[in-house]
Amino acid sequence: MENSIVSKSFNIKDINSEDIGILLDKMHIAVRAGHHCAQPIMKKLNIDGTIRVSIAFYNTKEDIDIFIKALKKAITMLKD
Amino acid sequence: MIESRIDSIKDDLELFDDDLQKYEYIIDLGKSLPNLEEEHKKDENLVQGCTSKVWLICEKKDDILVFKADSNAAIVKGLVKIILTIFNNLSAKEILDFDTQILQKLNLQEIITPNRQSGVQGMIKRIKEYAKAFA
Repeated sequence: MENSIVSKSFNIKDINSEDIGILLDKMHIAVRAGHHCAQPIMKKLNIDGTIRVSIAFYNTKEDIDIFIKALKKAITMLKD
Repeated sequence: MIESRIDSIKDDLELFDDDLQKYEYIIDLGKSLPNLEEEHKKDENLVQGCTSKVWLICEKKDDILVFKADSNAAIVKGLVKIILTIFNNLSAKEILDFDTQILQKLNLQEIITPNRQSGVQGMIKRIKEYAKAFA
């Protein structure tokens, strides 16, 4: 995983993945959120879903920085 | 009564030009909704049609229906708060007489994805079912 740049699935503790997905969308960042049609593994992990992000050949390092900044903003909005 | 509640929510939502600010407001609305006791978070209280989980319960006090609800997602919880603000503390008859088409005034389709809209519809359907049962 360490050297992998393919899609990454993750969750933020105590925050619903779809909430993050919606807020990132409003900040013009496209990720996928939810169970990704992989219900068996979600059930096994006892989670409702994950946020899944990936980069493509057209993405820049700056895009990643923007993503991190937006993610932090979304977390701030959603945390109690 | 219900219509004036809807108009008031509509006015509040229209204060925001920026979508993100509107979401922030909705999330904060959700934070102001008390958590439902764990004992009520069971499958039979789940609302059908929600991508995220929504639990809804209803009690009749005198002739008034009191709804309590919760969600495991923050934005949905804000929407739940909006729906409860509209329908709480009314008589079963007032709820049954209400034409849900009027809710379109709120333009929720601009705020939420189709999946979540079906959740809102599911919640209203359940509220009407409770009203019918308690009428």
